Amino acid sequence: MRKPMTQQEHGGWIRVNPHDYDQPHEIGMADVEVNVFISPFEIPRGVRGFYDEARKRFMIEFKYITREPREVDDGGPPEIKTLIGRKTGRILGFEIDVVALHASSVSLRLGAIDQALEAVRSRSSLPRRENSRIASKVLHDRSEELFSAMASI
Amino acid sequence: MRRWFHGTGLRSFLVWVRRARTVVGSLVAAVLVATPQGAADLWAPLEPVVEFGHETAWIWLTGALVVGGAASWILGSLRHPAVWDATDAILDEFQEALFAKAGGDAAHHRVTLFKRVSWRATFARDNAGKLRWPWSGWLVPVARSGHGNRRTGVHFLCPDDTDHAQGVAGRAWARTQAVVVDGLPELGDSDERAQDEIAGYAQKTFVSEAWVVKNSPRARSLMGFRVEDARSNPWGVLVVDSRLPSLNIQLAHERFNSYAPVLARLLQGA
Repeated sequence: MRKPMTQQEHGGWIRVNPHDYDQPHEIGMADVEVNVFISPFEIPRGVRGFYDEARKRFMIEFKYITREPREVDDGGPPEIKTLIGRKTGRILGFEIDVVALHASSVSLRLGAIDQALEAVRSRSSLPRRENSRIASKVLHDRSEELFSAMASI
Repeated sequence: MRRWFHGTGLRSFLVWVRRARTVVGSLVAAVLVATPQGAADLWAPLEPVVEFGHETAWIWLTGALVVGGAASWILGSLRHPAVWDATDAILDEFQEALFAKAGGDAAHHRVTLFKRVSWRATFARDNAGKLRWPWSGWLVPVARSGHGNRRTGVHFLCPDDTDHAQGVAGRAWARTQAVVVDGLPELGDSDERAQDEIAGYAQKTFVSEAWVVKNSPRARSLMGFRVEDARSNPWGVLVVDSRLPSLNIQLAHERFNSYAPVLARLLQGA
C-alpha cells in the first residue's frame, strides 16, 4: 500500500501548493480587459526554516522551479538580510540574526520579515512585487511550521 | 519553423562534416608517410597523387581541423533531437488535455512554443507604425502540437522595450503573469472582413491591423505563458490558441504548473 504523503519533504522542505496563490483576475492592458494569473515560475514550490550553525543565523529558504545565484539585500531591519535571485529578483529567503532580533513571538518575527520585504518591494518593479507578496503570504500561512525550529535555539 | 536550425536537419549535416574530417585526416596521414618513389613502385598513377598530397597537406589538415572543430562545437551546443521529441510530447499532451472534448479539427486548437531570439532576418513595423530592424528581438515558433500543423511562419516582434511587444505572446513575455484573451470575434474570409472587425481583433490581441490582414488569424481565444530555462533565464513563451470562444483557464493553469518544471530542464541551453 502506498504511504500517505506528508507535508514535510526530504531536506525539511514544506510543500507549497501553487494553486493556493494564483487565482486568475482581470486587469486592463493597453485598453483591453484580459485575465492574468501569476506564473508558476514565480510561486515557491517549497519553503523551509533551519538554524545554520556555521553562520549563527536562522535561515528561511524558498524553493522555485528554477535555480539561480543569489545576492543579499540588507535594506530592511539590521537583524534580517533578504536573499534575492540575481537574475529574476525573486525572494529566495532570509537570514535572521535571532539573538539580535529579540522577537519571541511568531507575529513579531513575521512583522520584522515583512519590514525587510517592504524594503525590497519599494525598490522593485511591479512584476517583482507580485513575487514578494506571494513570498509573504507563504510565510504567514506556514509560520508555525517554519518557526518551530527556532524555538529550540 | 526554426526547428531545422535548432534540431535535426542541421545536426545530421554537422555529424556528416565531423565524419568527413576523420576521413580527410586519415587519408592525409597515409599520404604523408608514403614517398612518391614508393607509391610509383606500387602503382605509377599514385606518384603525382602523393606529390600533390605532400604539397597541400597543411591546407587539408588545417581545413579539417577548423571545419571539423567548428562542427563539433556547434553539435555540442545543439540539443539532441530527443529533447525536441520530448518537448513535442508535452505540447501534444497539453493540447489533448485542454481540447479532447472540444470536438472538431485538432488543428483548430493548438499549443505552440515560441523562442525569444535577438536576431531574425526580417523587418517589421510595430503597432505604432515604427520600423523595427532584424536585431530588434523576436518570438519565433520552434515547436507545435499535432502532426499536420507544425509548419508556421508566424512570429512576433519582441523588443527590449516591452511596451511594443506584439501579440499575446509578446505581452506574456513581458510579464511574470500568464495572459488570457478570449471572446475574440470570428473573422471571416479575407474578402468578407469589415475594417472595424480587423481593428477590433488587432486591438484585443495586441497586434497591428496589417498583422491581422497578413496572417489571417482564426483563434477566438488565446493564452500565453512565459517559459524560463532551469537557470532562470527567460527562454520563450508557450501559446495556446483555439477557435473556441473561451478556454478552461483553471485546467490550463493546472497543466502548465505540471509541465513547467520539465520544460525548464528540457529547454536549458536549447
